[in-house]
Amino acid sequence: MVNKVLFFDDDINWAKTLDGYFKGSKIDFCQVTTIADIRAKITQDSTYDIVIIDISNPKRSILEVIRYIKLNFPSVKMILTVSDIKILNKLGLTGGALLKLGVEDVVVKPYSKEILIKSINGIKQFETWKTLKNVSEEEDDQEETVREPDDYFTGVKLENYVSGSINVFDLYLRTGRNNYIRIFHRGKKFNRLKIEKYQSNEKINYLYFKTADRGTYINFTNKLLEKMVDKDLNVSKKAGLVKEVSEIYIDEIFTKGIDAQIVTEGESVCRNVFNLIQEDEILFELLEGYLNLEKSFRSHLFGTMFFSSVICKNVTWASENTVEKTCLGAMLHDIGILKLPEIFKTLSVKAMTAGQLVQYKNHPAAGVEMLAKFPSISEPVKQIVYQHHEMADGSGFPNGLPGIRIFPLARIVALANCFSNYIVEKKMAPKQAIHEFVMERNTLIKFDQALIKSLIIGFIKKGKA
Amino acid sequence: MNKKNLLIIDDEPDILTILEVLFEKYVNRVFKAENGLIALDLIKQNKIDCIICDINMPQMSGIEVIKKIREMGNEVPIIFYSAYGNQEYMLKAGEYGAYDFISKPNLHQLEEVTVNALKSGIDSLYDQTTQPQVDDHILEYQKLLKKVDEK
Ligand SMILES: [Fe+2]
Ligand SMILES: [Fe+2]
Repeated sequence: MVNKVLFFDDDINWAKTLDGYFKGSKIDFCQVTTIADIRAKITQDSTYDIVIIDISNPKRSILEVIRYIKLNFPSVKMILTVSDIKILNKLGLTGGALLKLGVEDVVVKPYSKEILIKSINGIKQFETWKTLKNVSEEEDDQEETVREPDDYFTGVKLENYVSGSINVFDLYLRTGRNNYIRIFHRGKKFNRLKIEKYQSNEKINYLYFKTADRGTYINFTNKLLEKMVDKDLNVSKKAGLVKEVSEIYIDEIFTKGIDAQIVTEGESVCRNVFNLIQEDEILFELLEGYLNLEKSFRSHLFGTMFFSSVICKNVTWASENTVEKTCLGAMLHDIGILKLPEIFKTLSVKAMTAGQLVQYKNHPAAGVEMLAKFPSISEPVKQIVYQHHEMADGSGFPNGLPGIRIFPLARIVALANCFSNYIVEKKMAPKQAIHEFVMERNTLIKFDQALIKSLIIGFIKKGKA
Repeated sequence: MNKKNLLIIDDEPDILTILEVLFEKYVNRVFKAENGLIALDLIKQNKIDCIICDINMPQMSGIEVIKKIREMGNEVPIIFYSAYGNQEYMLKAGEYGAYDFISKPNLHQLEEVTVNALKSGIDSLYDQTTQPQVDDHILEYQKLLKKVDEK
C-alpha cells in the first residue's frame, strides 16, 4: 500500500490540479516546487513510498536528483511525469536508461486522477517503454572530446579508483589543459579494457569526473568502503581509496560548504576510515606510506584526521562514539580558516606578521560560528574546533586553558594537528618524524602524555606493544 | 566492588529517576540533585567521582554549577547532558573543563561515556598536574620507539 507520496512540479497550475486530486484521499501527499527541495525533503524524511517528479522543464539538476534518490533511497519508487515524450529523448532517457535510473513509470501530461492513482499503485501507464530508442551500449558509450575548464573536474588516482560494474557518473581522461575525453557514460558498464587501451599509448595516472558529481562520488565510495571492511580486497587499493575519498570529501566541504547531508557523509567517511585502519595492520602501514604530506590544506586536514584516528585507537577511554566525534572534529578543525584570506590556508604561524597572527587566532571561534547553524553537528565536534589550539601547558589559544580543563577530544585533535604539521615542516616520513618529535621536550609539555604514548603505540606493529 | 559515586543534577525528577535506575549497577552510590545548590552541598559532603549535569535549570544553570565546583578546587569529570543549548553557553561550559557533551535523550551514548569516565577517565585523564612531568615519560617513550623500529 502506498501511503506517502512526494511530488514535484514547478508548473503552479498542475500543482493546484494535483492538490485537488489528492484532497481527501488516504494518501499522505507532499508537494515541493523546487528541485533542491526534493532532495532536502527526502533526506529529512526517508519514509516516502513514491516520489513523482515532473521533467517537462528539463534541467540537469533533475537528473542529478533522480540519481541521488536511486543511490541513497533505493527502496523509494520513482515516477516521472512529462508534457511531451520527446523530452525523454532529449535528456537521453531511453528505455534502458530509465530502468537504470530506477524509474518505475512515466505518465504523460495532462493526466487524469485515475491514471495517476493507477501508476502509483504499480499499474504501468507507460506503454512506450519499448518504442523508445534504446541505443546499444557500444554505440552510446562512444568517446567524446570535451573542452571545459580544469576547475570543473576532480581527479582520482587511477590505481585508487574502484568502480562498480556500472558507472555512477561520467568518467573522463585529461588530454591537456582544459581538454578531456569522456570515456565512460554514467549508467553504462565500466570496462577496464578500455582504460588499458589508452594506457598502452601513454601512461595514465588519473581518471576525472565532473566536480558537480563529487557528492555522488563520495557517497558511492563510502558504500564501497563499508563493504570493504569485511572483504579481502587488495590492501593497497583499500589504503588508496580511503585517502582519496577523505580528501575529496574535504574538498567538497571546503568548496561547497556544509549541509546536513555532508555531515552524515562525513561521519560515515570517518567511521569507515577508522574501521579499516582498525581492521588491517598493513593498511595502516600503507596509509602511513602515503602520508608524506604535501603542504596543502586538504592534506593537512587528512593528516590530522588520520593521526586522530591513530590516537583514538590506542586511548583506553575512547568509545566508538568518541572516534566519530573526534575524527569529524579533526576534519573540520580548521574550517574557520575559510573566513580568512586564502593565504592563511598554507601560511605557517612562524611566518605570520603580528597583525596576521591576531587574525589567525580567531579561527577557532570563527569555525564554531560557522558550525553553530547546524544542529546536526554535535556539541563535542564544535568544542574540538574551538579548543584545538589549547595546549596542556596553558600556552594555547583562544583561552590559554590549563591542560586539565581542555576538552579531552580536543586534546587528541590538538596533538594530531601538531604532528601532521610537524611532518610537513620537517619533510619527514611519519615513522621517522615520531622519533624526532618525541625528543622535543618543549613540544611534549604541550600535550597530554597519555596521548603521546597512544600516538607512539600507533606506530608499533600489533603484538609488539 | 565498584566504590565510585555518581552525582546527577537535573531539574526534571523523571530524568533523575531514569538515570538512577540506569546507573545503579555501575556504582557504589547514585546521588541526585534537582538543583545546583543541593548538588554543591552533596559535593562538599561526599566523594563524587563523576557528575552528569543538565545545562538549562532554573536558579542555577549548569555553567554556574561547574564554575562553583571548579572554584572549590574540584576537577571531577562532568558530563553535560542537555537539550540543544545556546552556543555561547556551551563554549563557556567547555572552558571550565567538561568531560563530554551528550544531547538528550541519547541514553545509550550517555551510558557509554559515563561508564568510561567512571572506569578510566579520572585516572588516565584527570590525575595530572597542570605541568606535565615530561621527564618521567621520556624513558618510557624511548623504549616504545625501539619497538616502532622492529620489523
Ligand atoms: Fe587550527
Ligand atoms: Fe590545523
